[in-house]
Amino acid sequence: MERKDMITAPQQFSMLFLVNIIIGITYNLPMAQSSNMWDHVISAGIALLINVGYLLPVYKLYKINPTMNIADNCAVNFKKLGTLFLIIYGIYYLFACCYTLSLFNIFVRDVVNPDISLFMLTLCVILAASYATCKGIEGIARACTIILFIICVSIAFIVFTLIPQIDVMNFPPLMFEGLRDTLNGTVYLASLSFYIPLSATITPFVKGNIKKTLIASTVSIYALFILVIAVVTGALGDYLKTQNFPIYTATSVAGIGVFKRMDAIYLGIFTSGLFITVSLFLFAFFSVMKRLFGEGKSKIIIFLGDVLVLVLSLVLPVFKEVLYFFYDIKFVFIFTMATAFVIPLVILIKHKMQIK
Amino acid sequence: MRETTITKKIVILLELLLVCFLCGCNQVAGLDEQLIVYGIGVDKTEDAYELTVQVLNTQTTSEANSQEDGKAIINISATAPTLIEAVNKIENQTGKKILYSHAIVLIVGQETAKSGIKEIIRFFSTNHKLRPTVEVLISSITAKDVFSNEGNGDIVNAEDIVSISQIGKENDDGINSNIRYILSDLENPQKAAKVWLLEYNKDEGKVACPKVALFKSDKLTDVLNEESTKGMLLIYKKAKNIVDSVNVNDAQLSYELSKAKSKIDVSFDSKKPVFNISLCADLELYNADNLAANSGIKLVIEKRLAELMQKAIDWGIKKNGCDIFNFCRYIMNANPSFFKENLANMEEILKSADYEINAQAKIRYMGANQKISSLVY
Amino acid sequence: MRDFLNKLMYKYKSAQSKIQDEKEKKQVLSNSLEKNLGYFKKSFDESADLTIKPVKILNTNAAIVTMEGMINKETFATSVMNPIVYAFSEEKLSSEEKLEYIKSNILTISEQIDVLTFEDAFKLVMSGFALLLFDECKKALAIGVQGFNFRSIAEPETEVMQKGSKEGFVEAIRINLTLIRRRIKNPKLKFEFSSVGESSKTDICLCYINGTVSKKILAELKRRLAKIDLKNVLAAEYLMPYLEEEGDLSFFSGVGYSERPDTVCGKISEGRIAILVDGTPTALIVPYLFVEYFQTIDDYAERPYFATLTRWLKYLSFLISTLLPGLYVALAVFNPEVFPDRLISKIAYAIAGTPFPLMLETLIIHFIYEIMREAGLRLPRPLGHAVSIVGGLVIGETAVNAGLIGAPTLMVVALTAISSYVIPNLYEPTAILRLVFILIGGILGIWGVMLLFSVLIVNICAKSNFGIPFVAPIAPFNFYSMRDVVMRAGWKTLSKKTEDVQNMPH
Repeated sequence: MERKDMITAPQQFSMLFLVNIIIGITYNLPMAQSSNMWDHVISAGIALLINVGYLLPVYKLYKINPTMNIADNCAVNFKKLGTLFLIIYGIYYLFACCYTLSLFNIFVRDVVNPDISLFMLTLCVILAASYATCKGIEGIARACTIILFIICVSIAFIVFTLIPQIDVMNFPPLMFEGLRDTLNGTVYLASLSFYIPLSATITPFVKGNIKKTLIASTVSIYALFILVIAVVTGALGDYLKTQNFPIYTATSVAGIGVFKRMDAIYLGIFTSGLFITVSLFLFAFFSVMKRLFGEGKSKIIIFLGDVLVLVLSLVLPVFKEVLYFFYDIKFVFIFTMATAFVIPLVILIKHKMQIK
Repeated sequence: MRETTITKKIVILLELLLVCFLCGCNQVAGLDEQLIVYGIGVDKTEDAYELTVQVLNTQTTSEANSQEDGKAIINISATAPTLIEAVNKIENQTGKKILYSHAIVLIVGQETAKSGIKEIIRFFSTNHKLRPTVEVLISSITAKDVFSNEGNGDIVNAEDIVSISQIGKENDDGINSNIRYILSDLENPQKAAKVWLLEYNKDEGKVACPKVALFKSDKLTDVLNEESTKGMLLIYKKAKNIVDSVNVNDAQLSYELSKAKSKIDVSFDSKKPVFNISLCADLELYNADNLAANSGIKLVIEKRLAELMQKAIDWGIKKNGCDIFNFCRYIMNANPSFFKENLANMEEILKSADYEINAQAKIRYMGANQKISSLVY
Repeated sequence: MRDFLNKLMYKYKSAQSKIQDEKEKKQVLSNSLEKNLGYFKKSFDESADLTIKPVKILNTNAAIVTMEGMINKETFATSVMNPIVYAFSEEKLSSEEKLEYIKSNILTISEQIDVLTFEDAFKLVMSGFALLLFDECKKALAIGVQGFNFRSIAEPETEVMQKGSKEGFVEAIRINLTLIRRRIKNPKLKFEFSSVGESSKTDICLCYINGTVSKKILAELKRRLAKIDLKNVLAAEYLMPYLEEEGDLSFFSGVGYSERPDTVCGKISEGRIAILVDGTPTALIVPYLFVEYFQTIDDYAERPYFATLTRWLKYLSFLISTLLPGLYVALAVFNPEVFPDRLISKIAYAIAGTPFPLMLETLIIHFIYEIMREAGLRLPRPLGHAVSIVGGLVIGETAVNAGLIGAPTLMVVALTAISSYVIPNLYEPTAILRLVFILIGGILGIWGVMLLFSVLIVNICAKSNFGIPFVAPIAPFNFYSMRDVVMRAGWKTLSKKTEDVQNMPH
């Protein structure tokens, strides 16, 4: 369980931040079961508080033993239950990969570039992500800071090109249609907190002030989200009602001078982020599998995991029934809550009881 | 043994590469296999759509040669019961796929617009390559005739048509009639869409955009006259470069608005909304060589500006019941509960609402004999 | 089976000959002059350049062994031959005492080395020493009379700078050492000699400043050098793969090189180690960071504003030379909506008028360009101009006019080619990457290009050499170091704190 300080706290911040940006790009109103995007400003505030609560057990576990990640904690504190927890985490990390990739596939197929071969794209992303995973957390973390910088620059471009288009009349009164939109938005945003279970795995590799990093990444994620919602709502108004993916729509209207359509460039840049996100979840999956099966067998499991992610992300957009279950926000919310909060809390309680 | 492994690896790698080549390149049409569309025109006859596309003629070897060999742009038309069939017909005629990415204008014939534009707009907006900023125009004649300029047989470039409609842009997007805004207006049941009307002058063989067409639901209901159009521009956001004239002491004085900003406030008087519209305009008065600055001229001009705005409201809201000014949104933001309660009869409420209009003008007297002091208001 | 036995036999024989060689190397000089000379003749197989001059010194048979062309004949005649032929001693001395007498009283040359084994004798003779052998003496004396002809010090053609020194390294290692020493007059500057190459026994010299260099890095470098199992080392670049991390398959090298002594001195003073290789006018520099590829001596000789601009031009050129053709193909094939309205018509006309698909066309032009470049490099200069004319006029203009290739594609390739020369040290990796990007751009579009770009970033970021991350100080990020990365701060700022390479964030 000896771990080398491999990555710095700012690198951890950039990884968590980037993961959420990429998941946020495919943010859409139909999945949020909501019709008013502006209300999600309040939802983001509430989700921020929920996430801070989620972070507590993960952080406490880290404080108790900074060299142990969540997989080690599961295995050390429990025996059979620990194996079950490990399996849950393994499935969750694979789920996160599939969720991000399949949603991106739907996004590409439906609105961006229907001509492209989804199989090839997904295969390449998975192969590239597996390569990055093999290179280790250090390589991913360093690359992440560079890619995050590029993504932030592109987001700044989008925001600055949209700001002149903002019309104050596009902002409806908050909670105009009651609490439903806000509550659904809160559940949706909280369900997208994939970064917390991820941080449970990568935190032991980090040197620096973890507390500040976790809080800063959570606050930054939601601050950026609120900013983007405000700009997109203000600039696009009722046009959003005709669009499934508001962030993509924002990129398609964010032209610069003679370059009227830059969305392909922006989305190309976001693909880099997708690659980092998938590689991080694969790394987390690898860590859990290593703990479960040992170093040797885990390589085969990783390969199987890759194949599973490839198949699921390609098959999911085709079968609508499975899709509804897979993207059901209540299911995702419960799954995320279990891995981000419940299991770490159970481990924490068990640990305290053992000490007593 | 080791060599065999290496050979195997190479074979696997080559196979993977082959898979890449075979999978990646399917379905993708090169630029030479696509029709690059600049302008789209839609006309509807009784039972069919006539689709006209203005495309880049890549049959000529280069742009320079196109001057001699043939035209750089050509119009292609097809008639079919549905738009998708018309598109298909064009693609079959030319053997090329239509690429909408560089389309800059969508023209719908006035008669077609009367039967509804939502279907047409939606059809084109669902194409992922089409820009949301494509300018939509309604033409007084058929769209096909606009592109082909029946008067002298020349092709009217889509780029020129968009330039003509740029008056809307000069008005600081006073009237945004691109796909994105029209779709927004069509999605909002309380709001009415408004699109520039392209008029064709048969004698000169030229097109112009002096008026605005009003839509109720998605059907063209009326066309604002030139005065009401000016009035609408004054109310709606910020107006710029509007030219108008007033009669002062039997003399016709022309002025140009260099800057105007309107402010709309809504209050409620016994459940009846009262709109307070105030306009601040900077304008330049021409032929003012021998005029001294006086409050009389200022009052006449201010009265004229208020009159223009009143005419726009009368025509748009009171006559046609079209909320082209987004007044419903003002009510919604000011009094959400009132808005919710009266959502169904918003049209009536707007018609019966009071509109208090006042205009303030800052005049610059333009002329050779003007003193410097008068030039600065 | 037969193949297997043959292989086994071959392995056994080569192992035996190695053992034999090792034995011979360690063999000490014999008492008999005849035997020693015989051994020399046998070892060199009577090579034409081996010169053995029998002389009688102090009434004893002796011989002087030299290599033709490796010694300065004038020095040899005046400082060695003249004194020793006329040497006289009244005392009755043994052969070994005579050798000592000659060494201490007769010869005026300061560089004199006692030799006991044939291995040392061979090495010194082949390094330009004159070997004095006495009969009945088991010792020989190597006298430093090196004087082979070498290229004069001139500005290196591959690293031309506007400002700064016009001196470049030459092939002779010792001259190169003086070039460094003249610039760093610090007693802590240390030169450490060793040799690599089982057969060539090439001299290499580690140059570093004691106290500035990291002991860990130095020890690791020595360990890696000791593991080099090359037979011949004919160029410094031979050593590069041995100085990288094991299993490193990166496109970029973590070992830098320069032909400029000023550049090398700058690197040494920042804690790096330079490796000079005899016979090569190039010094290897370890550890080398990615950002250093974009730094030149000129940057530090110019005003910071202009230097910052050129620094950014270099970054931009790197991106253009790597990504532009791939992006162009990807966008023109998959996302033509990105091109402005006026540009799309030009591209469409060009594509419609040419017979090949865009990806293939771009690849063809690239290959033609690479062929022309290669031809231009190898040809004598006057013929090089002919290649330029053929390339520029015939292939460029005629092919476009004939409609074989499109002008926009040619323009893209030309811009890429020019950009790649802005950072000449990165030409090789960018040339390969560019082709890969074109392929992936034509297959997967912008998604593929960005994905490959990300993989490339991970590849570079995961790379470390001697424990120092290759992309430091960008990732891991060090704000203070940005003064020489994002911008090139003035010397007053730069001189406040010298950043040793081992202190980079990792």
